Amino acid sequence: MTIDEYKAEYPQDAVFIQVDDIERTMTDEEYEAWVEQGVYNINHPLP
Amino acid sequence: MTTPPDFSSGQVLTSLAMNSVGLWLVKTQTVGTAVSSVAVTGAFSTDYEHYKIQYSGTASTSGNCINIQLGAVTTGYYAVLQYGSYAGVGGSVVADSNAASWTHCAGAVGNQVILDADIYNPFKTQISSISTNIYTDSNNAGKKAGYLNSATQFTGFTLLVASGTITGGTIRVYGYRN
Repeated sequence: MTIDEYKAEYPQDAVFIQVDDIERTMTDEEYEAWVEQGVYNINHPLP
Repeated sequence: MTTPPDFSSGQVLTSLAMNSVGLWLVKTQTVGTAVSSVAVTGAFSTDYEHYKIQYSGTASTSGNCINIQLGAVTTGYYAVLQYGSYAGVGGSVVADSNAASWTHCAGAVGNQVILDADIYNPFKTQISSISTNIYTDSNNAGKKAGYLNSATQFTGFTLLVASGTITGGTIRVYGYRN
């Protein structure tokens, strides 16, 4: 999966960070870091 | 008196009976929709030394699903996941060496994620440790153990979704009676 594909599947305004009962969207910086980590993980499953 | 947990209808619950209950529900947290992480606060205290965290819910992707972070510490996580494949290939490991979290704490089979982790001494001024009882994805299964090289007293933790999001279900935190 590419970064663009990941972003298309998980738009920034459709993913939330939850702290107890409070949810919020990510900042731009948080979102970019989350996308990068998510793409890496999804492309590197356990063999 | 009958021995817990076999109580009789109308029986008085004595301190002796209640003090022999081994596992207490400390906190529950409902997970929202499409969340990339869930921070649970106010879970650890002086009341218990060791805790169990359980969660089952829906994951948007299969495979590695849940990483765990204590408090705000983002370095010093050491652990090993030992796993084997359903095809019979064993002896494989994934290591966290000074990682930003404990990775591979739970996997997802299809969209179903199951987490069962024990956290040791999170509220003491000494290292905290972890063991997980189940990692399952569509191809592999295993268990994990490790520690966090920090003497910080933690009151909470965060479930970080490795890729994609999780939706629904309830995080339950139990304290083991000291």
